[in-house]
Amino acid sequence: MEDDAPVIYGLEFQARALTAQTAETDAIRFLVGTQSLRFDNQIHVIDFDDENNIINKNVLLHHAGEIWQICASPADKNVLATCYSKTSDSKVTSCAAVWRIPKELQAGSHEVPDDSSNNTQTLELLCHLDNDAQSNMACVTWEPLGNGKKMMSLADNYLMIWDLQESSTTAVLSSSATLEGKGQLKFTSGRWSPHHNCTQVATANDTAIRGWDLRSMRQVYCIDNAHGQLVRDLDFNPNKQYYLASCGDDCKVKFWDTRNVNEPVKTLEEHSHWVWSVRYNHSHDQLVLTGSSDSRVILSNMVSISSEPFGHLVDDEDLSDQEDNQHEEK
Amino acid sequence: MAATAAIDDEEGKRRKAHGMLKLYYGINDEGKSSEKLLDPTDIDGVHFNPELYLTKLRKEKSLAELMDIEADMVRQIRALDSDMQTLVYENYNKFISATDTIRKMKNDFKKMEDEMDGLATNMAVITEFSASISSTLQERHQHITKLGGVHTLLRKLQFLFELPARLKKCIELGAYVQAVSYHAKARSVLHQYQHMPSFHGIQTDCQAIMAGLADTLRQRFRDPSSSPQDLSECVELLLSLEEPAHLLCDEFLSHGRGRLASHLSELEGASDILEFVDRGCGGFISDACLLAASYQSLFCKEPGSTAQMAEEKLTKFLDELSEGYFELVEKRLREEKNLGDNSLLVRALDRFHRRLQAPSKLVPGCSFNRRGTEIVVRAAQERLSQYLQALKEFFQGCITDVRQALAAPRVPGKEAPALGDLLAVLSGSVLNQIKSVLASVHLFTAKDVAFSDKPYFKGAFCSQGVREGLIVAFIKSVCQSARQFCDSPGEKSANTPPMLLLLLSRLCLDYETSTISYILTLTDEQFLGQDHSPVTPVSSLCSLARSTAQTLLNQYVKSQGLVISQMLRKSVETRDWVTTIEPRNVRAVMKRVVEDITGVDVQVGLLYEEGVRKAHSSDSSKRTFSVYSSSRLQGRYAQSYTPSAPLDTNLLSNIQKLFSERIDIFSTVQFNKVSILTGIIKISLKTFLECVRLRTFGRFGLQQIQVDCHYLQLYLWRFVSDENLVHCLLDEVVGSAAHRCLDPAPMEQSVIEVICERG
Repeated sequence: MEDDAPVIYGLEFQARALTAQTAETDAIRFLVGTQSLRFDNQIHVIDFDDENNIINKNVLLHHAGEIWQICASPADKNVLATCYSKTSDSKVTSCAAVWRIPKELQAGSHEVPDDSSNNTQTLELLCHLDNDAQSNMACVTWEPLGNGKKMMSLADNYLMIWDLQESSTTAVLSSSATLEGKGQLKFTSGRWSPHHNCTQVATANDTAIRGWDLRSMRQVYCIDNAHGQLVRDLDFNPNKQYYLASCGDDCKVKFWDTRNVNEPVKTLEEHSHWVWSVRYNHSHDQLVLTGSSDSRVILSNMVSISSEPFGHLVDDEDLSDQEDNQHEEK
Repeated sequence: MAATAAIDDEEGKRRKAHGMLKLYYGINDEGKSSEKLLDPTDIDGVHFNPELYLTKLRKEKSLAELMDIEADMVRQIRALDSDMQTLVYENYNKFISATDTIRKMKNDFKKMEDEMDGLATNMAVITEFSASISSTLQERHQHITKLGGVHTLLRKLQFLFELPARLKKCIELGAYVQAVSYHAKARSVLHQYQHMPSFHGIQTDCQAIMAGLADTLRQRFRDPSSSPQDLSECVELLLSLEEPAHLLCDEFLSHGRGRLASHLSELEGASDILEFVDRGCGGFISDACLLAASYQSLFCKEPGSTAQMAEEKLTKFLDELSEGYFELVEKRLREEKNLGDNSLLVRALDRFHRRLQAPSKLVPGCSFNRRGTEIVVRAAQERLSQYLQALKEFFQGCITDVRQALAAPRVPGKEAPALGDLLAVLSGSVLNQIKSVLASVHLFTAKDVAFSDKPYFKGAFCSQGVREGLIVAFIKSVCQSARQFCDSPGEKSANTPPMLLLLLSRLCLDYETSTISYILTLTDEQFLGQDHSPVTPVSSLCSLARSTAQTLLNQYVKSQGLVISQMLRKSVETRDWVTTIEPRNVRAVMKRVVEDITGVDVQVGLLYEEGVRKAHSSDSSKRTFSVYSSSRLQGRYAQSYTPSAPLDTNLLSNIQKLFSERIDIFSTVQFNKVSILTGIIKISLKTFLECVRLRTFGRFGLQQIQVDCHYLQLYLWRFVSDENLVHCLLDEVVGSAAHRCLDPAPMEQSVIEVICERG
C-alpha cells in the first residue's frame, strides 16, 4: 500500500449514494449516484484495477432525478436499483426503480476512455417499485445472496417486499407491514439480514431499530433509543449472525447482538458529528467503515467482536479496496 | 658577740614558747601567706630576726619614725605582758578546783569497795540455798511432766472418740466449716491408727458423716439460688474434703454459666444502646468478673498443675460465654443505625471497652480485650460506612431539592431561578454536612475515650477509615453520581434538566479549585493519623473533579445544543421549501432560537465567567452577510451552468474549506461562558446546515433561508468567541441552500436587512 499512489476519482456533481457491485466477485466495482437538481444525474460505474492501480469508469445518465440511494443486484451485475427524487410541478417526490446497464457497456468496454457528455449512455428502466399510497421512498434493498428477484422498500411507515417477475420488468408487491405508533413514524433506513435464509430485515425509524420476520411480517425485536438521536444507517455483520452495526446523529457507532437488545455490545465514539453510514467489509467483518458529516471516513478494526479468531492479523491487501470509499466524504 | 648569741638563743626559746602558747589557744595564722611567715623582718612572723629588723629600720626610717616605732613597740610589749598575766591567773584557778575534785573522788571509792564485799558474801549464800532446793524438787518435776503428756494424749483420744458426735452436732448446727476443720485435724491420726479396731470404727463413722456432709455441700453447690459467697464457701470446704478439683471447677463454672446466660437473655430487652451496654456491663461483665475472681481465689491459689488446669478451664469457659455476649453486642451494634447522636454510640462503646479491661486483667489468657477491641473497631468501621451512606443520601437529597427548585413552575416574566444561590446552598449544605459528620466521627478519637489510643484509632482509622473510606469515597461518589447524569440509561438524558448539569459542573469545578483541598486539610488536621499507608493525593481527586466538571459541561452544551438543534431541524424538515411564499418575516423559530440562546447565556452567566473572545470588527453584525450575498453567492450563481462548469465553483468552495479552520462540532468546551455558548451555537448551526442539505428549495425557500441566516447573524455573533465561526457556518447554510435550490435567485441584501430590522 505504501508505495501505491492514492487513486482519486472526481465527480462533477455532489453525490450521496455509493455501493459496491457484488454480483461479480472478481471485479472491484463501485456504483455512484449523483445529486443535481438542475442537470441530468449520472451513475458512475467505477472499476478499480488493483494490479495496475488505475480506475476505469463509465458514466450512465439517470434522467429520472437525483439519486439518494443506490444498490446493486446480488445476482446480475448489470442490474441496479435506485431511490431517487424527482421534481415536477414544484413538487418533490421520492420513487424507486430498477435499472439495467445498457448492453454496450456490459462487456466492460475500456475502449471509450475519453467519453464526453454527448455519447454517455442512458440506463434502461426495468420497472418502478410503485405504490400509489406512498410518495416518500426512503430506502430500497435487494435480498442478499438471492437470485435478484426479491426486493424490499421502505416508504413512510410502510415496509414492502416486492417480487420481480418477467425478467425483472414487473414488480409485484408480495407482502407489506406497517409501522404503527404515536405520531408520524417514518422509516429512515433498513437492511436485509443475510442470515437465517434471508428472513429477517432490520429497519430504523427515529431513534429505534426494529427487526422484522418476513415470513410473518411481524416485528421480532425492537431496540428503543438505540441512539440518542436519529439512527442514520444499519448494517448486518455478513459472517456473524445476530450482529448488527448502527450509526446516528449522536456521533456514535454501536454494535448490537439482536438477541440481547438492552445494551450495545460495543460503542465507538470516534466521530465528532453525525455518522451517516456504516458498512462491514464483506469478508473481513472486523473491518467497519463509517462516514460522518465531520468530514471523516473512519475504518475501524474491531477484532474483538468479529467472526475472525482473536489475534488473526489483517493483511494489508484486504485494506486496499476499502480505500476508494473515501470518496464518499462530503 | 657571745652575749648577742646568748640573747639570740634566749630570744629563740621565747619565740618557741610563744609558738606553743599560740598553738594552745588555737590562734591560727594560716591566713597569712607562707611567704610572709618566712619574712625575717616581720615582727609577728615565725622567722623573725631582730638583728635584721633593726638594721632594716635603721636603714630605712628617719629618726622621728624610729622614735615612733619605738614608742609603739613599748606600748605593745606592755599590753602583751598584761595579757599574759591574766591568762596565768585564770589557769591557776582551774587547776586548783580540779585538784579538789580528785581528792573527793578518792574518799567515795573507798566506801563503795566495802559495800561490794558485802554483796559478794550474800550472793554466795543464795547460790547455796538454790542448789539445795533444786535437788529436792528434781524427782517430782519429772513426774509432773509425764502426767501432763498423758493428759494431753487422753484429751486427744477423747476428741477422737467424740468426733463423730461432734461432727454430727456441727452439721446439725450448720457449722460446716468447723466440722470440716475438726475432720481435717483428726484425719491423719485416724488414718495412721486405722489398724486398731476402735480407731477404725471412728474413722468409718467419720467418713460416713463427712460423705453426708459432702453431699449436702454438693447440693448446696448445685442449688442455683445460692449466692457466690455461699458457693465459694462450699467449694472451699469441698476442696478440703479432697473432692477432685476439676470436677469442682466444672460444677462451679456450669453453675456460673446458668446465671450469666440469664443475664444475656435479659439483655435483649434494652431499648437504647447506652442502656444496653450498661446492663451488659452491670450484669454480665461484673458477674463474670466476680465469678472469675472467686474462681481464681478458690482454684488458682497455689501454683501447680491443678491451678493451671483450672486456669485453662476458666479461660475456655469465659471465651465461650463471652462469645455469646459479644455476638449479642455486635447484633445490637448493627441495629444501631440512627446517626443522629454519635456521642451516644461512642460513649456506649467506650464504656463497653473500659469494662472489658477488668476481666481481661483478671484472666490474662482470655480474649476479652482482643475481641472487645475488634468489636469497637468493627463498630467504628460500620459507623463510617453508615456515615458515608448517609452523606451520599444527603447529597442525593440535595440534588433532588435542586431539581425540584429548578422544575418549580416559574412565574411568567420572572427571571430564571437564581442558579448562583442554588449552587451556594447546595455546596454550603454539603460542606456543613461533611463538617458535622467529621465532628461526629471525631468523637471516636477524643482523648477521654479509652480506645482512642489503640493503634487502629491512631492510624488506620484516621487515614484509611476517615480520610479514604469517608471523605475521599464521598468526593468520588459525588463525582460519580454527577457523572451519572451524563450517561443515563436509555441514552435520553433529556430527563436531566440541563440547568442541573450546569450547576453540577460548576460544583465540581469549585471542588477542584478549592473545596477538595479544604475538606482534606480539615480532615487531616482533625485526624492526625500516625499511619503512613498510602492515601489518595489531593491532586488525583482534583483531576477527577475537573474531568467530571468537564464531562458535565460538555453534556450541558450537547443537550442545550440538541434542544435548539431539534427546533431548527423540525423547522427545516416540516416545511415545503419548494412552494413556500416570498419571505416577509423572519420565521418565528429563529426568534425562538435567539431567545433560547439568550436564555442560556443568562443562565450560564450566573455561574461561569465571561471568558475571552476575539476582538470584534467594528460592524460585526453587518459585515458577513454582505460578503456572501454580494460577492460569493452572486459570483457563483450569476453565470449560467454547463455540466462541466460546476466543477469550478465546487472547487472554489472546496478549496476555501481546505484553508478555513476545521470546526469540531461536539468538541470539549472551556469553563467560561463564551466557550459554552460557542459550543451550543456550533452544534445548532451545524444541524441547520445538515438539514438544509437534505432538502430541495424553491426560489423563495432560498430567500427565506437568507433572511433567517441574516437574522441569526445579527444576534448570535455577540455570544461567541470568534464571530467568524458563526459567519462561516451561516455562509455555508446559505451556500448549501442555494445549491439545493431549483431556481437560485437570491434576495437583495437591502431587502433582507429591512425584513430583519422589522423583526
